[in-house]
Amino acid sequence: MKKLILTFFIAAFAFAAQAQVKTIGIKTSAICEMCKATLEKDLTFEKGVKSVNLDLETKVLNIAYLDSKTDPDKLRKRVTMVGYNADSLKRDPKAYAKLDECCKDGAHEDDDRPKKNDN
Amino acid sequence: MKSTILLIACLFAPALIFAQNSIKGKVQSASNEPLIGASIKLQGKDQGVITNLDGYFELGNVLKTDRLVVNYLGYEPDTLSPVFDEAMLITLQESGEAMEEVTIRGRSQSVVDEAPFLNILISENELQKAACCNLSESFETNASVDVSYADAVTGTKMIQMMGLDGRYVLISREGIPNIRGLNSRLGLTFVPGTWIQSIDVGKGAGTVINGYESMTGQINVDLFKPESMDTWYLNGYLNSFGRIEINANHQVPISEKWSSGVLFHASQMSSEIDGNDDGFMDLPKGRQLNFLNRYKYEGDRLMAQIGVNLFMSDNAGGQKGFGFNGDLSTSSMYGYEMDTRKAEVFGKLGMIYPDKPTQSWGFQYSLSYQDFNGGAGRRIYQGIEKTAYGNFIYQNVLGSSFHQYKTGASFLYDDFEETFDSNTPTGLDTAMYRTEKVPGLFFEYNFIPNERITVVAGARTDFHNLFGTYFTPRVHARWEFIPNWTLRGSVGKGYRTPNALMENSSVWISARELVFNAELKPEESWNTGVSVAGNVTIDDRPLSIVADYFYTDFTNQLVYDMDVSSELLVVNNLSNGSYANSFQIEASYPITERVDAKAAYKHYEMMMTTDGILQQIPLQSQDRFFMNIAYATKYEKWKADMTLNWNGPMRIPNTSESPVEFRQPSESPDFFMLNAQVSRGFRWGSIYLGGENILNFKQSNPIIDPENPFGSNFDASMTWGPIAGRVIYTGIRYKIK
Repeated sequence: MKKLILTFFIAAFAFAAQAQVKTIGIKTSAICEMCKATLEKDLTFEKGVKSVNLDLETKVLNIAYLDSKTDPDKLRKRVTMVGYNADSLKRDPKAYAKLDECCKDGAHEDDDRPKKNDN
Repeated sequence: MKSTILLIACLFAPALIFAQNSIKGKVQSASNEPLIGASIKLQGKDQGVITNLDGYFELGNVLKTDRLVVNYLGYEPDTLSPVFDEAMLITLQESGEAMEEVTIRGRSQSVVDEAPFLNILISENELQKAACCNLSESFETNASVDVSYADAVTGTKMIQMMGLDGRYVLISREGIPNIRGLNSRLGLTFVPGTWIQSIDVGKGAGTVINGYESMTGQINVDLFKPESMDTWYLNGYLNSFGRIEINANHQVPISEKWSSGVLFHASQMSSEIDGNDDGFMDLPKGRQLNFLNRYKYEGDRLMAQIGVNLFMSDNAGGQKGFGFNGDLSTSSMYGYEMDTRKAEVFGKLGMIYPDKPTQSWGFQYSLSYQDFNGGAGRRIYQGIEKTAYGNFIYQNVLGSSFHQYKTGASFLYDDFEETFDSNTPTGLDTAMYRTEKVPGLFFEYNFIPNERITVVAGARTDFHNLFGTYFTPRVHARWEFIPNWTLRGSVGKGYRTPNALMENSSVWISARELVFNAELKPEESWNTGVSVAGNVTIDDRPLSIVADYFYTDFTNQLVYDMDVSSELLVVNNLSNGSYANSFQIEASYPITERVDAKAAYKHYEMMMTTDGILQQIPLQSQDRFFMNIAYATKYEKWKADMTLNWNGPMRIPNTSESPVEFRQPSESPDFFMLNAQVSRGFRWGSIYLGGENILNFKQSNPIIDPENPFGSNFDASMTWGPIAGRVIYTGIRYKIK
């Protein structure tokens, strides 16, 4: 009986291993919390994506995905369709135009000033 | 405005530096008028401040991670991040609905903290947890409203608050009384679930502004609004009983100031479900068409809205084989039929004054025609109700916003024509006509000395053409006695005119003779209540607790007495012979970031004098338990939800005179009901799969003597539990923004 369960688990693992979860970091042009929410939410619903997290310090969007269902090029393409640059790929201008004002170029240029005063 | 706030939010959210500091600034209207007495509160904390006579405020110990919630009566509340270096200038926009209460809409379902009334908000998100089908099912994940089955034939679900029938609750649609009169029982099915944006459930008598009919509570339903709805929202639904539904909400943009919205519903259920093999359909076949279209104008000062609602529904039930156009008076089968038509024109008109931001007026109106054609067995009913309603509300402050008031006048015209033929030699044949004309005046004063205290004292006087003058005083108070803990108290009067035929439609489906021993008198009650709501932080997460106790005392009630004899239903006026105590405690807690749990225990004691004895109202549980667990992944890609209800034993009306084989036990067994739903989100919407009554609990033999429906022992009104068993459903929601 024990052996049977063990075999079952090994088989299950082997099965799971076939569809491998890979991770990728995509450098984006995201600049604020709003961008983070927009990008993460959209990519969450992309086919093959398991999890998404954007680091605003580095602007890198970390994605865990199933390599049987999608690939890095598709993911980068999707990022551009949301309105952001993805590594060397340029953002889609139409999608960019639809973004919230605070996610557009130059919206946070004054950010540094108050920060300095604060600390 | 919105983008400025977003910009501020964007600026500060990334810089999560935990520096403590103080903020100062000014709150003003769009026309740069200072708002005096506006509240600025830190979200989820006890800290807060009110602006002074020049609209200025200062608040210490603010964290960068805090969120400021800014509130002012008659204005859209705003939530924003603090700014530390310079004075903040916060501009509030006048609220689009001049006559709506200002509430904070955040969490999916919660007690509205700032309200002086004990109000629970059910949001769209919460409503989607129970995907079927209309307003009567929308309270499934809410502990304050109970849902039960009217009888074993009509499939009607009834709601109760504080253990008392839903007819004692004022159910309004966007402030206009909507489910009342002849449709007080069936009307919940007139509002499709997918049309509803949110529901406010208020316990206790509530405000006097919307009339005198709220005896135990107020439920206000907000539909999707033309200016904020999606371009398209499509929903398809299918269940294992063969019910099919199509819903469509469509926004028609017209111009910057004009918008229009169309809401559509079509449903059909044509299969005959008889899970308990008694030869009777467990729920009737039905088809419904429902259409609502409204236009909204939003100018700088004037707001106007006009809409139309057209509704038709046909239901046919009873013995299997009875069809939609069956003839009740001659059919050899025992049938049930109810065909309903409704047409309504409704709207609002409101004015705000940019130079006097505290002042506004609004007018709400509704004109409707409803007719009901149906009956059960040989009994044939026809009812027509014509209603005209108007309510004018003026709101302003007395000196400062510490003293606010609303005053106005209303008018109700309500015309009833009902006929009832039992088509038997001894049975009741009656025709009832009445026309109510009720002008009324009201005044409500809000005293808000500080963040912690609100007192609302209101009164209205209505001049009823049939029943004389109604005086309706009501007082509500709220006191945040320690941080995060609020005590509320209320006392208020209520009245309503009963409609004995429609309200006893379940008894039509029995051999009981209807006996009217009463001249028509209004029902009259006092409702008193206290509640405590608050939260304690456990593991950085709030455990919210609400405990309430309400006492409803009827000075006059129209009693429907089934205890006199199992062959009769006696309608009687009862003075000071009935009351209800209700106690509820509810707790909710996010077990993890992704799992929310909620549980409630309710104890009711509802006493009424029937058959000369003061005893528990029949077919209602005294004790109930409710539990809900909800799970959602990030961005709600997956959602799962489970609700468990336990209903304690119920008293069953006295059947000791019946032949021995038809006698019922004096008490029903207790039972559990389990509902669950899973949904998967997509960019375009979601698909869902769920089940109701998953444990498949059914009342055994819900119909007494089903073999002889025209015999003298037949009774399908002794219903205490679900009739139909488990139902599995699935559906799809598709949105185009």
